[in-house]
Amino acid sequence: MRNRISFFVFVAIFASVCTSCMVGGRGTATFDQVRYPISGTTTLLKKDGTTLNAASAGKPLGHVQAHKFYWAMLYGSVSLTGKYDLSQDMNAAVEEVGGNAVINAKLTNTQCPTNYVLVVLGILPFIPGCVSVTLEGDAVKLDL
Amino acid sequence: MNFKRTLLSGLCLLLLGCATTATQQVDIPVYFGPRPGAPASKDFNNIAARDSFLLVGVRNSAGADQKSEVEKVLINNTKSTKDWATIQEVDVSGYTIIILPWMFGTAENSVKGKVEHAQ
Repeated sequence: MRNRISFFVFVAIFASVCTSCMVGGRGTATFDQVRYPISGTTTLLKKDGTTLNAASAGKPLGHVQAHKFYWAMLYGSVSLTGKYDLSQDMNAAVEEVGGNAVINAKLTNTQCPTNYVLVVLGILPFIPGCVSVTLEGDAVKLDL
Repeated sequence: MNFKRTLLSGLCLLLLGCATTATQQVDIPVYFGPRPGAPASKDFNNIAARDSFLLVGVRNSAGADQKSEVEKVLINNTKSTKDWATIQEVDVSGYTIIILPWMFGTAENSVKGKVEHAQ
């Protein structure tokens, strides 16, 4: 009886592992070429080193964001996108609304919806997966 | 009696821990990428990477809602309001995994950066 239960457990684990699937995305987000300060808080530093609280400087000009999908395959282990600099997209977005700084910036990484569909084929190593990365914040115009 | 003493000691340790943490952390500006207009070294005596940091934000959950955010960085042992943090790069990854009968996912941000200081 005990041997039969052990065998059943072994078969169940073996079947689960054999039918397990995985897809994923990976990459590196960089910000090397930003022309405007992108602060994760409402605080910015002026050229003289003093702090400036942008929250009291008026209403933001608009919400800006830069977005990129980072792809990978071989169960998410090999990045197809590699490094991608979000600066150019962010610079363009800030210039579009006439700002010169970004406050309340945050970077969000979420799974692509396609992962939930493709994961059923994920037992195959060449099925690609991705993550959706967004850098967003409020554009402001300040005397820095 | 022993239980009360143990409970009291635990509470004291907890309070002490919270107080220590509170005095060690300062909320400083965090820049994604270099800080444009940062003062050149001729303006200040010492501008250098004072400390480096590596944060790993991971969110694992069952089901479809996997999201990880880099929003705010609190750095230990940073007391000066003239410090600022620069996020240089963020390694992003996320996986959807099925091990029957379960499905779960991860989203992870690994943040590399440095704390800079103007004197």
